[in-house]
Amino acid sequence: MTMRASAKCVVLTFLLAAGLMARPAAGQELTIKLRDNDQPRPMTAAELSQLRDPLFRLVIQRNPRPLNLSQIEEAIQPVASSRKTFVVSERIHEQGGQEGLRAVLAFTGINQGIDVGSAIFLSVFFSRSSFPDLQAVEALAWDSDNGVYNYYKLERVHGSRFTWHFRGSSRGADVLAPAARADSCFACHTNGAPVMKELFFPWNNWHSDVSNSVAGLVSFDQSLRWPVARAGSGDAHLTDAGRLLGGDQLELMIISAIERFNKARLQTFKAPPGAGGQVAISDSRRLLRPLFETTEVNLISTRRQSEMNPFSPNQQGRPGGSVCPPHSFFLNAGLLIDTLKIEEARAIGAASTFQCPDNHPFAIKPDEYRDLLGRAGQNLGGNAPQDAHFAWFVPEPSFIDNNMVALLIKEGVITPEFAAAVLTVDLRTPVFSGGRASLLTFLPNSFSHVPLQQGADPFTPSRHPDALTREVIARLEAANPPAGSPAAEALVLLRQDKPLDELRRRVVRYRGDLESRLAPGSQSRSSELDRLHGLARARRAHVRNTAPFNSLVESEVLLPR
Amino acid sequence: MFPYSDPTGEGALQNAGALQIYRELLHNQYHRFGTLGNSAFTLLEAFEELNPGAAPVEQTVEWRGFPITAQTTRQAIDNDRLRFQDEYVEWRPERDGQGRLVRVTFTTDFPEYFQAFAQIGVDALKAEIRRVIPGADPTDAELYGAGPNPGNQSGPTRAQRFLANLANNPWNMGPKGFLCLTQRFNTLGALFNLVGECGIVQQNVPASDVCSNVGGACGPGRNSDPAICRRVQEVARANFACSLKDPAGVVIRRLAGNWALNGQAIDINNPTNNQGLWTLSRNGRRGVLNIPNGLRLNSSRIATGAEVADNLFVGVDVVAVANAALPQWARTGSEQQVRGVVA
Repeated sequence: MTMRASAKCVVLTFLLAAGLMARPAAGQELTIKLRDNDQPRPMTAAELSQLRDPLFRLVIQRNPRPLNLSQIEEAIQPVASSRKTFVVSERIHEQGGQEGLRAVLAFTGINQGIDVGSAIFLSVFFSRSSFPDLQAVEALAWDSDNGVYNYYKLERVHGSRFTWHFRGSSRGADVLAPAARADSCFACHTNGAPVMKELFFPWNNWHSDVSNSVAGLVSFDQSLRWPVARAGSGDAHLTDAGRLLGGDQLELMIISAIERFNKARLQTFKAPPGAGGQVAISDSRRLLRPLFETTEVNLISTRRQSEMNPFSPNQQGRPGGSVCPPHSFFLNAGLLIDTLKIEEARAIGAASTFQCPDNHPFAIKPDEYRDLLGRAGQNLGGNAPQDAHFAWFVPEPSFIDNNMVALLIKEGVITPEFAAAVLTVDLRTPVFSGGRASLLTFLPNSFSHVPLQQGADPFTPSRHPDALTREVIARLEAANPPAGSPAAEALVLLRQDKPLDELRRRVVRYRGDLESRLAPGSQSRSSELDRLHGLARARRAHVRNTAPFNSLVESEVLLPR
Repeated sequence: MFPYSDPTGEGALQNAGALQIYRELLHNQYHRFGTLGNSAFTLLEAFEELNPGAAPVEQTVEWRGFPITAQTTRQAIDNDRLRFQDEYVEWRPERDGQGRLVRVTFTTDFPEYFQAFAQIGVDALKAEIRRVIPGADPTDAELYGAGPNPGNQSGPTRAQRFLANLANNPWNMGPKGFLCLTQRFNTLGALFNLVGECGIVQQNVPASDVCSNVGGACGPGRNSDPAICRRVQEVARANFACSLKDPAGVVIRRLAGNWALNGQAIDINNPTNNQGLWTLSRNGRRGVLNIPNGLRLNSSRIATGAEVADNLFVGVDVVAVANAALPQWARTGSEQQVRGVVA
């Protein structure tokens, strides 16, 4: 499930707990239904034997299978204080209305020796007045034995009867054809891992004490809370002490869930060590794709509320202070700073202070921001200017992609220099770069590397150019790419002794260009702001209109137009 | 004066005869901001005089201990506590001879707690330090710096010397030990100032931006300050009054992340399951993480305390009630009356 809805996912049922892996009887009743319109069929014993995730073991294998939400949660984690609720909606600040709200239910701790922490995520709906105990449940669970996420859905099948369906495993999800993806969990879960679109601060659309507390959920004034969240009469998911948590806390769960997914996935591409400790990597274009292509996106914004969101109360019509676009809007800051140690990238977007000083070139003053949106006609279905709850809400390079690249570097599969050379191509386009994507064809199908020892520094000593780099250089040379093409640029960069230094220089130059064009009072400032805002809108439009990203747009009011 | 509790719940303040001093230190803060004009912050005494049927609401505002304003490496954050660790939680990493991280100790104790012992006497402070750090044998010079014999000085002078020397005190800054918050923003006064100032309604500013408009009382780039500020501003806008729940302070709530020891998952927050690897003491104001070779956080070896801090949640407990339920003197806008009611 995306941590937002996808009506396309799955759930399961099951039976019991420790020791019951030898009791497949009830599990044999589980049906498989990979896509919404598929005809369900019973799973075979062989298929069932592959399911080792905690949801299957603790819930679906149980007899009788829990079908009510409270029963399901009790089976997963009997300790009530270890059950957690997270709430998200594009209309989360609306006091009333019939709009459904999404809750993600997660768990901490261990039950019957089985680790359920960040290992099971349930996705359900509720309203401002009730939290149904019997309802469709989308679920995903981590199978550590097989290194995959299994997807399930509890669905209404006949009248009031609900049943669990197995909706597929993450193995091979990244290479599914669009037709196979449609109406399946993997329409949203492109790589097969959990998705939390607004993963980082300020977790736009998620309740969070840190950035985005929702009066309907947590106001001290009970009369401002939704009935479902009122102390004493509301639902335990929202009112039990310590159970309702914020996007800041789900972020950590999702990050750890993605990290273990990527680690397990990387292992599937590795052959056993051969002579000289060499490890062969198979299907390298698939494994290295996150360096070249945007396989998923996250959504990021400034820390500043736009005050122009039509679904939030008491909007003032312009931000309360200057807006500095997030630095991942300008470049792949996460990868450049955290992984490649390009410190020069910190200053892009004035993010170094995590503030937005009024006199900074990147600071868009409140009236300037309002006018910018007004000129562009930006809206969320009403009269411009309108905006998401937080200003400058745009797609950014995904954590799952960046984490995989970081892992490849950390384990020595690729060198930092190789990654730097690739990222320098079309540096100013952090997402959806056709130029970088075009380079993927120059990768060999397989290559070998000598893994780095655990804890070894991937930067020192330099291994550039390693075998992979030399092979790619050879392929680029053989292709004789036309001057000015991404391939020609990549060839120049890969041949350099120090591609990291070149990346640094380009970042500094980029920052200088931006600062020059955005200098307060300069003639170019207004047009440059229009250009940047146009980029933001174009990237949002790309998400809305392009598979697989468009599956993430589950609400018309997610992305301003 | 309100009978403020020993924040650690361990009774050492009472046993040393320092509880009254601690209460006075705390009362100064409550009183200062309880009399701040038009602030929703009020005194705890007010909650003992609520209208019949009225009940206060208690909430915890939580945040992560990792200092997001520190634009540097995690190693650097570990190494320069006084510069970077500014989220009302500080830590001390300890390494073995090979440089491997073996223990991280976190604290949210404010210096005022130890200040009360210092004011009582030299021996009282040393005894309390020995209680916190078993085997400690601090000297006067280590605790108070160079100068006259602290035993011959007045309590307030001695306490001030102790505070002034905290950044040089080896029992606080290492290598000998680790006592309490010392980073310049992590003060009890800063916490009260934050709640007091953010409790003044600013109708023309979005609640989320009030942090930037309270004259430096709130650090808008941090995790903690904006979260607390916004919640208090929301309280004020709802015509509620609030206070810091007794015992006032910042509490370590839990560790997040997936923890495993030698390949086996462990519930790190469950003391019956975590094999003593993570222990909370002092009423949640001190946490010690022992890091054996096989301990993994999210499948990775832990190399810095900052990594742990990124998974550490701390919080502050706030208590609030509608102004209408309070005695007149405690309501927002009646701060002049507070001065007459509570000295």
